[in-house]
Amino acid sequence: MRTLAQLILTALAAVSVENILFSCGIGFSRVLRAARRPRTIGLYSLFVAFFSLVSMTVGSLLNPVLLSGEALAWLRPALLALCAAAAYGAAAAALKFGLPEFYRKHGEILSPAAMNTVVLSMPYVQKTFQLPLARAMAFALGTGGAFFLAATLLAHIVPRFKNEDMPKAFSGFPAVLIYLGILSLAFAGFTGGRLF
Amino acid sequence: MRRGLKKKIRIIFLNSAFFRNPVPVAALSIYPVIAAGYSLQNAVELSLLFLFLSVPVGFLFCLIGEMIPLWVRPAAVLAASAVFYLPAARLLESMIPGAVAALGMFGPLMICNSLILSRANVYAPSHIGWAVAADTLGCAVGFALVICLTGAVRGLWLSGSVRAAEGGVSLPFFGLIFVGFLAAFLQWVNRRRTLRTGKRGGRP
Repeated sequence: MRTLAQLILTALAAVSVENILFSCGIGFSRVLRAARRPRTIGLYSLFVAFFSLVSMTVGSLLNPVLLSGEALAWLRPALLALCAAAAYGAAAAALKFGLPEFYRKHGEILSPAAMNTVVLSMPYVQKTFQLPLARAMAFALGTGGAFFLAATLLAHIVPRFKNEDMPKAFSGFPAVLIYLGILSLAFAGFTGGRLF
Repeated sequence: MRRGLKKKIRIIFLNSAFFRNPVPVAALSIYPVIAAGYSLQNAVELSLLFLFLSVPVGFLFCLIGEMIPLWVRPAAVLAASAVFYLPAARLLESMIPGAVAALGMFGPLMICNSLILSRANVYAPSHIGWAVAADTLGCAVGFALVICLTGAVRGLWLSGSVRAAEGGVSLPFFGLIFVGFLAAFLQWVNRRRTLRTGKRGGRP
């Protein structure tokens, strides 16, 4: 029961106070793109959660091997990115040949979701937080939730920053960035400073 | 080189570096700027790493990108970026000893930099070598300008020097606000350019 509570708390932390999107600015480029198409946000977040789960699990299994020697530790980031590329390749192939109709409709968000995962939940995060595998997996699911929260929020606010009352230079993207900066300031209050 | 081609290449370079700088205009590669660009030292190291990584990845996909099916290309670009990260990091380390370790997780995360991946995935395969070279170098200059400016302002604000300092404006929120103002400045510049071009075009 206590373990389950810890897992839920870890997932909730990933969505809220340790939301790396808002407190660290990680993955903003792709969240902004996802927010432009609100209909795809749910599926996009599911893909992010799935790839995060795979990355966390593979990273957790590979970490002891990769940290065993200096040369391997040097290769570590490249090997983990290669694993993420392989995970995307396998998922894309499975969907393209197994569920071609689904892939045709939603395939274009598969690759940004996978690439975003490398940034969001590469086991660097796991290393930083020193999480055991089960909690790392809960954190990965929480990362999907965090992505959903950020993208949904942006999908609602982005159109409001294109209004006539605003100075033209700030209209649109500049206003979104400043708004996100203020939001990030609030999240910095939760985290108490730099997460990494 | 033909004069027309030279002019086109110059336009591509200037757009990627200044007028359509992908960081404040297209929201690409924002993370390193806002999270890691808190000192000029970090900014210079990341700019060099960006250059060493984006040039070979861009050229490789200019040569072979069209041969790779679209659905496989993102994985191939990420894999190539991972492979080229190793010599790029070694090169940076040989130029600035201790730089890779000092960058921490920010160095390896350049492997999946959205600007490098999107340019190699979409732009490089469909353009000629000269255009890819101009775009890649332009993006590297544009990225360096934004991150170095952000890093210098933060360093000067916090410690009065270009060295890294903790707390306050070194946190990501300041990076977002600062890039927001840069984006507004570029929007203003581009609007003026458009108006000027329109006026010139309107002349009899």
